[in-house]
Amino acid sequence: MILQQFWGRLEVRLHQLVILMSLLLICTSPWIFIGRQLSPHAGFWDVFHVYGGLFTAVLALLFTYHICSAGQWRQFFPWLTLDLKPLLVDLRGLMHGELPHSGGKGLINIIEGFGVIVLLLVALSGAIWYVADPSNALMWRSYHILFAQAFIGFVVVHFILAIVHIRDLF
Amino acid sequence: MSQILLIHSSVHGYTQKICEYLQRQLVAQDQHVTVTSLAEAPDLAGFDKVFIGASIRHGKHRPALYQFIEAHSAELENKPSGFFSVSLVARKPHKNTPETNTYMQQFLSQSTWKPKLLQVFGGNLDYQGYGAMDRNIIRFIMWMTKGPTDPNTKVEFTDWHKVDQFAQQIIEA
Repeated sequence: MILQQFWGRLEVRLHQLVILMSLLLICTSPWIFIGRQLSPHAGFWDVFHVYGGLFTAVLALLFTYHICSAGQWRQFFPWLTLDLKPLLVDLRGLMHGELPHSGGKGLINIIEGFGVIVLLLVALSGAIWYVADPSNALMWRSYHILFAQAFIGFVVVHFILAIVHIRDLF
Repeated sequence: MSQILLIHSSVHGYTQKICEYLQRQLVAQDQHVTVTSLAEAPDLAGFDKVFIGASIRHGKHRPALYQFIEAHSAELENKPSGFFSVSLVARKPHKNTPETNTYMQQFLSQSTWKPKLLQVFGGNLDYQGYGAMDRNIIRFIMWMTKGPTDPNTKVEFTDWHKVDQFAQQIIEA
């Protein structure tokens, strides 16, 4: 019961927490110097990136559960069941200059679904980098950077879509 | 007497409040009404009419709403049913009908269920009821759209007379 109440409170804040932690990790990443492993003389931002990143990985898993539970995964990943009609409607609309609506199984939800996949890839590659044998660590570091760059691209697109949505409010 | 099911997709509890108000209006007219959340909705087969009310979260109706509709589309299509959307945008006179409200049009474009009875209601603005990030984002949006920005604002934009009319439409559906 207490766990359920805690989950209920956390669930509504997960999106904000993921955004906040992701932005902190992205914005402070130019200041970190980590190669194979966290050195004993690591600075604050190095330690923050590793443990803040592991915390964000847990948030990413919880967020994925949140958006996928009770069959909701079908709304974000309709391509898994080849349910592409709403996407095609949105793409046809775009060709005629109509911006897609949020919700349902359309383009915007599919983009958000891809964002979650990339977030999980960033988290997974970061976690493996943390536990990897030093001989493989640099390879996982490069994967982590690649996925993080893809995630930054997603954040930019997500932000632009949020700004576009503001037109609905006037 | 009809067995009516009112389902709410509510984040801060205001859509539930509208459903409970509708319930009181309908019970006063001898209808048997059950109010439930989307997550706890019973088997729709036990009801003569089904109506769903949903609020807006981060610029859209929640994914769980669309998933529920998809899972129950046959029952929703075959019974008298309807949908209402609750949003702060619906406080504006030129956005407060199903035809002019962006969120209702968004819903109709994405939902597999196209209910005949539709309505939009203005929502509740309670800055102190939101987290700090939501509160300030909404204040910023309100500033842009010339709405109230005082952090202590607590105002219901719902036209309750319109809710009464909707209750009557539910009975007649």
